[in-house]
Amino acid sequence: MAGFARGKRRKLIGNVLTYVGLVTLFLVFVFPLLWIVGISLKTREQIFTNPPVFFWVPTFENYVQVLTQSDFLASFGNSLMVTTASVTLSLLIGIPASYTFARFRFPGQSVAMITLLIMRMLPPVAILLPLFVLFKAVGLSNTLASVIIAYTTFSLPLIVWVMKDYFANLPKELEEAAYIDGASRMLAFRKIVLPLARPGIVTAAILSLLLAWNDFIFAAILTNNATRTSPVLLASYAGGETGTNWGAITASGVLVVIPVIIFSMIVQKHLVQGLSSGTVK
Amino acid sequence: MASVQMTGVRKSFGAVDVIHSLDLKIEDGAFVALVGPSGCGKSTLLRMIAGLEETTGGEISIGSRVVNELTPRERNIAMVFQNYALYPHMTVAENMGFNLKLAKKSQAEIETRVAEAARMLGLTPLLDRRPSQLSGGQRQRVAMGRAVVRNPQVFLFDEPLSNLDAKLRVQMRTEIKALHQKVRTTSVYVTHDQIEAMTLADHIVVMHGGRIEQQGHPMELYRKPANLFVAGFIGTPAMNFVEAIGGSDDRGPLARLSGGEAIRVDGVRLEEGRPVTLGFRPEHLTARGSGTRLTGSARFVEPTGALTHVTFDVGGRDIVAVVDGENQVTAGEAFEATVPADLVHVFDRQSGARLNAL
Ligand SMILES: Nc1ncnc2c1ncn2[C@@H]1O[C@H](COP(=O)(O)OP(=O)(O)OP(=O)(O)O)[C@@H](O)[C@H]1O
Ligand SMILES: [Mg+2]
Repeated sequence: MAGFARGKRRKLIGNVLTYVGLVTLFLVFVFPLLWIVGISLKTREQIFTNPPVFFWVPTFENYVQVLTQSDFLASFGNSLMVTTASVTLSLLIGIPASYTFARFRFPGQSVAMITLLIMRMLPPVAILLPLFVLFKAVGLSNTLASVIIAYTTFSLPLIVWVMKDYFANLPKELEEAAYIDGASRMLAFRKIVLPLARPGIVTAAILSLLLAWNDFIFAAILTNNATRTSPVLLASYAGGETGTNWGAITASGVLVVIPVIIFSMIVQKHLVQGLSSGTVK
Repeated sequence: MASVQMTGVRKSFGAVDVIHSLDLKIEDGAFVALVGPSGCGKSTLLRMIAGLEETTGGEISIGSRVVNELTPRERNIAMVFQNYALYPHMTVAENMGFNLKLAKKSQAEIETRVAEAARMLGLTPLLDRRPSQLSGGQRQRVAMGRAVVRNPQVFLFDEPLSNLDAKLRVQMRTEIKALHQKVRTTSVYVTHDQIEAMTLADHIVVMHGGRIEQQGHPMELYRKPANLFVAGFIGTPAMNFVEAIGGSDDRGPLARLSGGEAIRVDGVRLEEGRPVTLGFRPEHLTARGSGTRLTGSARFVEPTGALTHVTFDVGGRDIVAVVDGENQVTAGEAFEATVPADLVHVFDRQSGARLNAL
């Protein structure tokens, strides 16, 4: 019985630790977000009140301002555009590429994988400057296309490294069983491999989405006022002749975070692991 | 339905030769069991017939078509994988109906055929489950079901019953036999279980190290094993082997054990002094009857019910005999049995080849 009691105490300690961890995480990750939401709902005067007010009547004037007076909608549209396009493109190229890496042996394979990894490990600037020159040469400066290409280049290595392992871990017999059942290679890929690789694909999609949606440095250099994305616009609210416009920054910040939250909620149920358990003994 | 013919078939993985120039003809409608020790290339051979593994050399035909260059789909074969390979994202019913669906059969037909296979395999209550919610034996039956819903040219089974309990295995064996008698589809069946091979197959192929040691009707392999390997592999409990020196006296050929006992043999001419290995099956040692008498003390007595296995000591060698379960044999006491001359197998000690007439 002593063992049982001790087990119970250990469980209690475990629970306490879990909650301490959760609260810490909450404070670290969620509190700043709530603070920003708070600021975005204050008037300019309330923002600068010291000590800060904790209870006030929320105002939407900052939101009205960014949604009507500034270039917010245009940049938001640009962000949506480059993100959707680069994620789609990355997945379209990255999934077949990583499947090939996982299932076929060909000369130069490991060199190719290492090259991809090195590309990802270089500081973005090292890729950015050559890209800038290149886009200028081919007449793509200041276009959305140039940003899309840059993001795709940058997220492909990520996708290939994540997905290759995923595909390699799917038992090969599953595809073979599909061939025996009368599927072509393509059909087996679509009906067996892709559904089973879904958690991996979702992970890859999230990674490349965050990369594109949150990027500042590529967009800052590759775009102009017409093609800039939300992070670039947000940065322009800082400084300026009227001082930093905290209301606008926080309001657009909140607006920019919303799509990410919606996306996460949509895809999180696909992240369930262990889908392939029970297939082979 | 179709015959399967392999001529000079070879397979290497890189530098490792796994199948060495193998010839095998499987008649249309036959049920062939492929047996052999682990790693001898049984699965590889099945996979080559299925088209999952490229042939390094030689030719494989199914029916009148050479299939070397055909995809599995074009070969129209059904296969039960050694490790099941069930689709984890599909239910049992979807797993079993996948082929029919790809073949664009009507929903009604798919349901009928899946239901029938499920009934035969005892899977009816499990049709809506996912593979991860099944036990090992249930998964194995689903893998089986995926094959039997089809109407293929050839069935390939890779140890399909290995994970079932004894009772279910016997039951499934009967089902497979009944199915084959009904549809008469050419079947190749890999198994480790001799009883399974003997009872199901009308032709057994014994493989060893990527070669065929012997093939033929089950009883033929049992009665006239072509070499030591087959003799030791077919039959349970395994054949007794003793080393002896060939010779003869005025009554005919015999072989002398090192202790001086002479065992009379039949159907073979033995020159004086030739080293041989004698083999005789435990079940052929009888308490009474004509033949050479072997005596010794019983070392172990293992009753199995109807029969009792007795291990007794003959001049320092352990010999196993199978006697009627009603016989009273006690460990430590004297035991004797006779070996009829015509049931003694004589093998060349060097090459292992059978010396008695085939
Ligand atoms: N992909 C492969 N690459 C290299 N060697 C392989 C490969 N597949 C099988 N082998 C080798 O080929 C030989 C035959 O393997 P196979 O799976 O056909 O044996 P098996 O007779 O089915 O054995 P078991 O009864 O254990 O299933 C083994 O020695 C194995 O190590
Ligand atoms: Mg095998």
